[in-house]
Amino acid sequence: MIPMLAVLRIERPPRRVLRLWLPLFLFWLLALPIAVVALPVVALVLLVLRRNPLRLFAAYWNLLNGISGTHVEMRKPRASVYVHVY
Amino acid sequence: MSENRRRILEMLANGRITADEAERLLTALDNGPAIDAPAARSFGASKYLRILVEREPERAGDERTKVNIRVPLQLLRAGVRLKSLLPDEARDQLNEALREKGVDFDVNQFKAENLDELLENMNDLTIDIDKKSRKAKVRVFCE
Repeated sequence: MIPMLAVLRIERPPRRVLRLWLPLFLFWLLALPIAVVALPVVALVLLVLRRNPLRLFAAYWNLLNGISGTHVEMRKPRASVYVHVY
Repeated sequence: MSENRRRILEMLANGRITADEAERLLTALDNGPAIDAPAARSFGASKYLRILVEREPERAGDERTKVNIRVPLQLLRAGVRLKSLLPDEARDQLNEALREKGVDFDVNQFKAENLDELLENMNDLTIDIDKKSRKAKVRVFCE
């Protein structure tokens, strides 16, 4: 499944903590009409460059689907970063 | 047939080991404890690659630096597949850049099936780093 939500948390005590919930599904909704227009153009360019557009789109789709579940967390004495993609 | 036995026979079939070496390994397997390659079995069902880093603090009393990264294996596989779609010139440039950084690695030789083998061999790998008296431990495993 494509990533729907990303959570970002940056802590730098004693300063304020930054917490962001990024609703990625909204981005996909906005990107969909652009993709519908852009994909045939991109496919044409790829055909001119003798690249298989279906293989490339499939690879990017797999890459996009693979992002879900990514988790990055780093804790240092004076800072910490947390990123999770749902 | 156990997973270990199958892997030995595969290595023999691929010519990576000789018949004598295969025989010694099979004998050792028969005489050894009954460990039916739990890491390999668990790797098959694994979905994520986990990298844990723990480093001692710079100053006494500080907390340890901890890094916890979980990467979906699907993402790694998709990335390797995407590599095959890169133009030849881009791959050559990538190889050149890696060489400049001291990494003698040919991207053209790396295939999607190699990734599973690489991850399987790296599964539950622990590296202890001792740099300028600050010790760090890196652990890589699949889950």
